[in-house]
Formats: sequence, C-alpha cells, structure tokens
Amino acid sequence: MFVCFQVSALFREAVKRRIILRFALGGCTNRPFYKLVVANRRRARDGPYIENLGSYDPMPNSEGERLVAVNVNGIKRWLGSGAEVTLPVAKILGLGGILPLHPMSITAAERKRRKSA
Amino acid sequence: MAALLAVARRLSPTLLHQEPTFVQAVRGRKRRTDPKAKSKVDLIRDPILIDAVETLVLNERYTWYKVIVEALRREFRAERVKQYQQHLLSLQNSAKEDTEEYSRLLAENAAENARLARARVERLVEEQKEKTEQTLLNMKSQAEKEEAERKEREEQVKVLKEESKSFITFENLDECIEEALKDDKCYNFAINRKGQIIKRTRSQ
Repeated sequence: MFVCFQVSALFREAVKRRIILRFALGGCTNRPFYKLVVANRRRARDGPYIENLGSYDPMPNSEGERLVAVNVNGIKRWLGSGAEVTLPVAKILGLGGILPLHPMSITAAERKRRKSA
Repeated sequence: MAALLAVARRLSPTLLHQEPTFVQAVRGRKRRTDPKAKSKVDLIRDPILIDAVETLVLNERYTWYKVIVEALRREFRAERVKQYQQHLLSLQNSAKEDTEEYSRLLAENAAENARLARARVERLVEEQKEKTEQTLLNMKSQAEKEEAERKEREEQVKVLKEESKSFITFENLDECIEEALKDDKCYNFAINRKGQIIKRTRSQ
C-alpha cells in the first residue's frame, strides 16, 4: 500500500502516540464551550494539546443554531496520520459531512420520530 | 431467560444474592467488594429491553460505518503521501535551481572582478604617468631655482668685488685716515624711525 518504509513510519506516528481528536471543555459555569482538539490520549481533557482544529458551541444562538467550526484540512491530515476520534466528535463530524453519519445518530433520530408519532 | 430471572428476583430478593444486607455505610466511591447500600438492598433492576430488529439494523449500519471510515482514512493517508512526494520533488528541483543560480552568480562575480581589474590597471598607469610628469616638472623647477640662486650669488659677488675697490685695507689705511680728517661732514644729529634728521639736534 505504501511507497516506502520511511513514509509509513511517519504516518504511524499518531497511532504510536495514541493521538485523539476530542472536545476540550471551556467556558464557565452554566456556559459550556468546546474546542475540537488534537491531543495525546493520556493528557487531561482541558490540558495542553497539539493542535486546535475547531470549536463547538452547545448553547443555541439567537437563530437557534449550535455552531460548529472545523478545520477540514487539519482533520484530514490527522485522520490520515492515524488519529482516533471520540464519539461526540465522530457524531458532529458525521452531521457536518466530513465522516459518514454515525449509526447512533440515525438510530436516535428514528427513535425520536417513533416516539413523537 | 432474562424475564425469568427478573421474576425470580422479584419473588425472593435476598435468595439470589448472598451478600450481607448491610454492615456499615460506605463512605466515598464504592468498590467492587463493598456491600450494597441500605436504600438499594431491595432494588430490583429491570433489564433494558432490546429491540431485535433495531439491533440488527444498527449492527449492519456499524459495519458499513467502520468500512467507510477506514476507507476515508486510507484516502487521507494517500493524499498525504502524494503531498510528501511532491514536497521531496520540489526540494530536489529547488536544489538544482540553487546550484544553477550559484554558478550563474559566480560567473557574474568573475566578470565584474575582471572589469574592475581592467579599470584599476588603467587608473594605475595613468597615475604612474602623472607621477613621472610631476617629478620631471619638479626637477625642472628645482634646476631653475638653483640656477637663479647661482646667478644671484654671482651678482652679489660681482657687486662685492666692485665695492671692495673702495674698502679700507692695511695698505691704504693711512691715506683713508688723512682723507677722513680732511672731510668736514658732521654726523652729530639724531634721526627718527623714518630716517629723517631731527633738525634741532644737528650741531654746527
């Protein structure tokens, strides 16, 4: 699959270091705000990270939107290097179109629809 | 099976679990070996009912999801490989360009140096010429000066020679004394700075 050993060693870097794309919580009391962050898995959730690739604001704005910002090139870069992705991030990226829609998102939507029907 | 267990649990709660009901309230986070809390002793938890159809559909969705995500990862990886290779190629090209640029600059530098050298040589030749001309002029003027001095000295000598005819020597000393005594000129007067005689001081 890969052209030479040197190149593949470079790209297994993220896997060896257990690098993860996850949300780091910020904001203040009763006002959460998440940063989409590339970090070593063993670091604290809100601690030092490698790179900031976006944000997610769970509080709806004046239009009723919960905004998500995403650095698509950065995410492609890290996914290509073997970084793992947490569930909330996977779900949000699925909704955004970078990854496919997560099965649980679809199932949750179906359940909600069944309940309301 | 799960339903049967749930019924059995309801009938005889203490029958099925052999733990002591409670010995002492546990403080802090409960461990695996700690006994159940007082409030939870008679609690019977019902298992979450699973929809079989939904589960089947969900599992299939998961398999497809994993396949697609893995495929996407490989695609991104391939993109990075391509970028890396292009980067290496660009480095090589830039190295070639750098060497060409370097040799061009060297040639330019050499040409400039040659030009400056030619200019310098010309300048030096000019300077040498000027120098020699100047030295010749100096020598000429020096010679003229010396000539003039020599002539002046000769003139002085000539004049002195003429004057020496009226000098008082041992031979004509007596004669000159006699002549001076005969002369009646009076030099007994004062003069100012301009050399004019102050008439009042002239004695008769």
